[in-house]
Amino acid sequence: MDFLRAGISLCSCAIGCPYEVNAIGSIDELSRQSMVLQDVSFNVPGNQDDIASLQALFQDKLKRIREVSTNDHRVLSVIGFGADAYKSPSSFIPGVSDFQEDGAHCTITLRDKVRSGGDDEIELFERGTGLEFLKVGVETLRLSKGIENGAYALMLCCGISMKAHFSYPHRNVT
Amino acid sequence: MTTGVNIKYAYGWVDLDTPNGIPFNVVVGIVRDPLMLAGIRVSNIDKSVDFFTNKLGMQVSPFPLARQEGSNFEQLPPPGSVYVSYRGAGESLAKAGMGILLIPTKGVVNVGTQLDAFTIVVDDRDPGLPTFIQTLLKNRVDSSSSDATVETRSPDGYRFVLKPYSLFATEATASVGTLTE
Repeated sequence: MDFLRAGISLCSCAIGCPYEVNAIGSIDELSRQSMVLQDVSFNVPGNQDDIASLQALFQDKLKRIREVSTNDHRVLSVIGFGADAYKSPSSFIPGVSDFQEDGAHCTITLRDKVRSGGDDEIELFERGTGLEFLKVGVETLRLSKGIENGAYALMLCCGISMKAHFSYPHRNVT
Repeated sequence: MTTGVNIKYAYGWVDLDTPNGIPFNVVVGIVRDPLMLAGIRVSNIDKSVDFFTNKLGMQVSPFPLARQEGSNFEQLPPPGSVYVSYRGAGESLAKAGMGILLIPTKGVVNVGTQLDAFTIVVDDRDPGLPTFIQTLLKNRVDSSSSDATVETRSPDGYRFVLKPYSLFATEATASVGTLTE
């Protein structure tokens, strides 16, 4: 009986002290505040093209974290930046360490319509006029790889070297 | 692009859409969290600031930059916009996570169906949560489970899901070790 009480007491402590006992308790933001913006999710008719283009764009900095099937027949693909989107390395020291050691703590979820068993139904979603952009800051960017994989570049600012289709290279600096 | 040019090299910032039309603004620079912010249009900036600060508990903060201030290689926020984020008391902006840029616009904002939701992880055992959040958590439909999420919408209809820390921890722990390229 005492053993049982001790077990209950230990469980109560674990529930009451989530930061100390949880395997992902080193999230820097959560250790100092009680709320954090953690994910942005999108409905898309097929998410693999988006993931491929983003991975090509950001190379090895963008990771596919997990994929799960939901009860409403969707596949959720969660992607995020860094080696581990949920934890900062304990050795990371701001201002000293390589920033690429530290992953982002906000993820992107792409909710895909399941197409299986010959069902090719594709659900279309309205983009609307609300979201202007998701801003991403990265040290390196493989724009050409992203475009190869389906991304559409809308605006390129400042220094751009480009080659016209008639193969006459020129430089555009703003 | 549409006229046949092939981009060979670019620096500064890039506006691009994924194949399904999710818009990104990418800056070459150094930041702690690569996913810096979401810029959303709002029809009434005052109402929106009130919602994000007094109800969701965010703070109005300086606009985060990936490059040095004054750089020509990073786009500045539109006039009249307000940046809000979660930040611990006394913490520097560099320690803050992703935030939201509220961009005022005229007319009605159509949120659309592509943008599903913003998820906010909440330590629901913190007695210092904003009253609005506490009321939402207290009145959640599935009160039988302490892990149940609850949601609310901004004045323009953006959907916000509040996820208890315990549920987030369970999901995130389950995914540890399954990272793939």
